[in-house]
Amino acid sequence: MSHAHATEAPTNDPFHNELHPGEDTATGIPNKKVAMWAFLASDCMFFGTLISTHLIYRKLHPTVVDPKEIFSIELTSASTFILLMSSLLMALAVSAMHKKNVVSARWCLAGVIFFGSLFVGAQCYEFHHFVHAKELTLTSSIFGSTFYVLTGTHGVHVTLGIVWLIGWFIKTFSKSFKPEHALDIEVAGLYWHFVDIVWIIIFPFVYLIEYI
Amino acid sequence: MSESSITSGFTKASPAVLKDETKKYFKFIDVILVLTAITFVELILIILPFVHELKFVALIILSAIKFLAVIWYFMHLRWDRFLLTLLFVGGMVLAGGTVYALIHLFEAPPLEAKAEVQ
Repeated sequence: MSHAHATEAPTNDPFHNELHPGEDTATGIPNKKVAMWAFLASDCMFFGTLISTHLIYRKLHPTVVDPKEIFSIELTSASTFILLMSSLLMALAVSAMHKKNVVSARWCLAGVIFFGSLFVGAQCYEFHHFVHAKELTLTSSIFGSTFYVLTGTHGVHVTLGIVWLIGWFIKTFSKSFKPEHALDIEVAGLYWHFVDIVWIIIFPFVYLIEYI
Repeated sequence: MSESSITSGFTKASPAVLKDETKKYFKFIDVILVLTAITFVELILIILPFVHELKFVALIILSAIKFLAVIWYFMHLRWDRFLLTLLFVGGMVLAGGTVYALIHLFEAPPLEAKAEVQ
């Protein structure tokens, strides 16, 4: 792809060249970003099938268990707020990288990792409580199967996001950390926001729906 | 931004970028306040004595608003090229279609039950 052709591509971002130097493409969007959005679009389908499977079996077998006796809506609500706050910090980390303020970005990343770990910790506690106190296991009922597969898959996504961000947090201390890496932080941020929006759907349609 | 906060290899961002990012900072704070408020409303909604259908529709609308706010502002779709919005909406349409098809597929009575009725 010729550079002359690439610079002709329009972009909505007037600071594109300053924020993503050397990332001129035919579309005007860095390829890593396009790839991440394409992955997220495919992951939507993945979570869509998991959520609909849970809802379908919940409707087909309504009396297997009473989720209201199992769920702790206080804990789940707290987890929701934790994930929302982590999303804010992730957006601020990307913004700090655009400002080339690495120290600020590092603190924001540390906050995201902390809140993400809190979320995973709360989920582990929830699963442990469900298995041991409520006797809801992966094989005890169809509700348990679909619930654990759905929320567990989301938890794995969050855990992978934390590992990814820990990698970038460590990298910010390295001398090889360059302004070009702002794009990588942005791509990791897209993934993190995605796990947040999946939870935005899971929270009402798996948890809150049982209380209405 | 203090000079000490600039890591080696990083030059100071231009004033235009700094101004733009500061605007975004305040936008992000507004968005998180709205998201938090909507989550509170969702929690209050489930204990209110409304009909189930109304609460269900309200939950769908509220979660859709939260979903859109995150992708539009936090995921930068508002400021990025429209192609990315198209790409993601394409995935969402396919996912929504799959959910719709699956739910309606399982709503149909089994063939044996249909035969018994006839």
